[in-house]
Amino acid sequence: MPTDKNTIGVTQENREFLELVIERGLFNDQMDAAKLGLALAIRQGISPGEATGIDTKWNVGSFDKDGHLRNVVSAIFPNVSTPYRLAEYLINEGLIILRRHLVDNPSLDIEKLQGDMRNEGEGQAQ
Amino acid sequence: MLFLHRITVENFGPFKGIQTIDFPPEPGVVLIYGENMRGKTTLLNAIRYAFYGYVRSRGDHEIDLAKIGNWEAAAEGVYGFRVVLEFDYKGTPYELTRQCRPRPGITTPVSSLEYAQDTLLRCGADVLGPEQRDRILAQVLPEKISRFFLFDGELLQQYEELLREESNMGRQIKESIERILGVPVLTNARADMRELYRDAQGQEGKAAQRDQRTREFGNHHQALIDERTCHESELLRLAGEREALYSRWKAIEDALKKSERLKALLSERDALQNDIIVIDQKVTEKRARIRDLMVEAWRWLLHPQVHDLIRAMEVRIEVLRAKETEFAVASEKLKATDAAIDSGSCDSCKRPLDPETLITFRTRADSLRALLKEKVPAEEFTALLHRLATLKEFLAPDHTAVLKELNLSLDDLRVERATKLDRIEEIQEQTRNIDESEIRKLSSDHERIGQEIAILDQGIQGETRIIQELTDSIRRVQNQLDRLGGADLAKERRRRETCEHLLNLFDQAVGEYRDRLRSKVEEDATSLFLRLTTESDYLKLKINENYGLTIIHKDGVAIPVRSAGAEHIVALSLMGALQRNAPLRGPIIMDSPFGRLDQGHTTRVVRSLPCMADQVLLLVYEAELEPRLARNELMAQLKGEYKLVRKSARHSVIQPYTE
Repeated sequence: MPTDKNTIGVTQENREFLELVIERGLFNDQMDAAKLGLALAIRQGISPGEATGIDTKWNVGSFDKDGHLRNVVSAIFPNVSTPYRLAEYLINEGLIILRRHLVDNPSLDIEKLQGDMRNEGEGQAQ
Repeated sequence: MLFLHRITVENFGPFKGIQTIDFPPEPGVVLIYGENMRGKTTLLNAIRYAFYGYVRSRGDHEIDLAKIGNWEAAAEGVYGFRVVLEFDYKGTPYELTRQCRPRPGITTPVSSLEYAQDTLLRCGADVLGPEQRDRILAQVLPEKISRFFLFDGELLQQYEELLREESNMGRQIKESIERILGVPVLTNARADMRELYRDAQGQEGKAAQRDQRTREFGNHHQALIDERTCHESELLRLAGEREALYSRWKAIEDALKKSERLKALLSERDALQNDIIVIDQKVTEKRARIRDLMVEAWRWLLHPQVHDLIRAMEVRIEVLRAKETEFAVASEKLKATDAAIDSGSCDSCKRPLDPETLITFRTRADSLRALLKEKVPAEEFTALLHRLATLKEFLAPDHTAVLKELNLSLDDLRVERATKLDRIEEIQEQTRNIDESEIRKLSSDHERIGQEIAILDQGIQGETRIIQELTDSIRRVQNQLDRLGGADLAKERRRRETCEHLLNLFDQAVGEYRDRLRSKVEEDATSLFLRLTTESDYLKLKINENYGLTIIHKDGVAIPVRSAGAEHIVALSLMGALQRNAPLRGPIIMDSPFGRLDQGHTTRVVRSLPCMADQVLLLVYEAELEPRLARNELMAQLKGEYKLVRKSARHSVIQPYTE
């Protein structure tokens, strides 16, 4: 049985992007952006996978102090036994979605993001 | 009398190539229609350029000649421009050509210094020499009175200055008015007479000095005259100095008036800059609030998934609970059935069980035992309850709407900030070359020069008083000489007396002529004004010393404040009256004079144009004067219609007007 991770890592591109969003004043902390990325990936319906080309960024103890992240990932993906490993993958995928959104929009518009994702989902369905 | 026959322009402003307008030889009105930027003002300027060699903007500033040539022609390598004006003056035909061309050796001129100007005046087949040319041009349409022949709406507005005492512009306009009315003929003659009188006084004194009996008085007389001459030259010096200072003071005052607007602009800029600081603070606060909200945003995003999970869990829990209840009931039933089988009697009614019922009980007990074998999964139930609790805990309040509101207000603030920044840039552009300390210096100079003028005024008053006292003394000595003098002195005295009488006569004549002119101008302006105005309650125009005109209501009260439209009507009335009373007459060329007039006034002005001058050339845009209205009102008096047609932004064509 595979063991879960104790750390969360991000790709080099996402690392730079996280620095940029802080610079642009969109988040107080890079972790907030990473968690939003995770939620975006789940909402987008990204299938479980494993992140590649990443470097450690956070320890899960500090990243998920209250365990909510692990709980919700485990609840949504009941067959996955390594929620942090999956979370790491989803975070990196979600940050790519966020990056695309911020290219076209000056500010973070959650409602628009949801709309965009719905449209993309419909496009994919067709 | 000046009458225009034809104007030819070549590469002048938007008029590319050679273009001509022919003015019909009969008196009447010629209309030239053109929308904005087609070249109406340029056409007026072409006439001005032909006569005076310069052009003016609508703001009355002189325009650099290097900017006059047609841009398209310049792009094709053709620089310079030309205007030819054909006209009659006192029945003699003339052809005036003025042209600006690049100086030899200069292929791409960029400033007026790189252009040379040629002026040619032809009379029939003869080309006049420069002196004769300038003399005739100075008579045909003197520059100082050109404002009564070539004007636009802005110039009409200036006549209001005539109502203001101490107005520099008003004084200049008054001088121009007197010039066009021919007053200088008399005032110059009076000045000459005064010189002759002074000369006669001097001769009389000298004759007295030559006679033994009158030498003492003669010496005294001469000393008084010399002293008065000194004071007169001092008075002249002071007046000249005052004039120069007044011009400076006036220029500073004008600059200060402009600086009022500048001050308003600068305070607007400061207010805008403060607004931007406040906006930036709001933006910072809202962004911080957004960042705080973003901490939990991932949780709101997952609400749909989590809600689905919670619903599924709750359904499963309900199923398990139902199963548990069913298990308990079955267990109780089995217990009762087993007891009945064991005792052989019914547990409820206590009657013995017959063999058939016993078999039924045993079958029921077997099926209940089978049911109870499927035990409720207690671990799953507990785990479900735990997961349900953690998921419910996960559901943080959704602030998507608040976030949206914050983003919208950030957008509004961004737009507001950009608008304010644009305005600041505009203001900075308008105030680019203005030094704020310069304005403060202007204020102090204005005050200082005002004080110097006051001191000069005291000096002038003092000198005038001394000159008057000396004149009285000279007169007293002359009276003494009259009693004592011999034949030689008597001859000089008669000469001086004759000069004095003539001077008094000219003095009275100037006054009388001015009064008559003013009265005639008032009468004619009133007559024209009553034709032009649509207000039936107005009775007349009243003229002041400066030829300023006040509207008098039928109840006899002067109208204290008048609109820009009324100002134009009064100014046009004055123009017409001056034309009627001037020894020098010529065409009136008006550029967009109806911009501030309503249709009622426009109709009346158009109807009255033929009364204002023999030849009227009107440059208008169609919304300002509808061609149909002009034709209806002018009928046979309308002698020609042209239109300035756009070929490109830098190329207009003069065409006969056709609907």
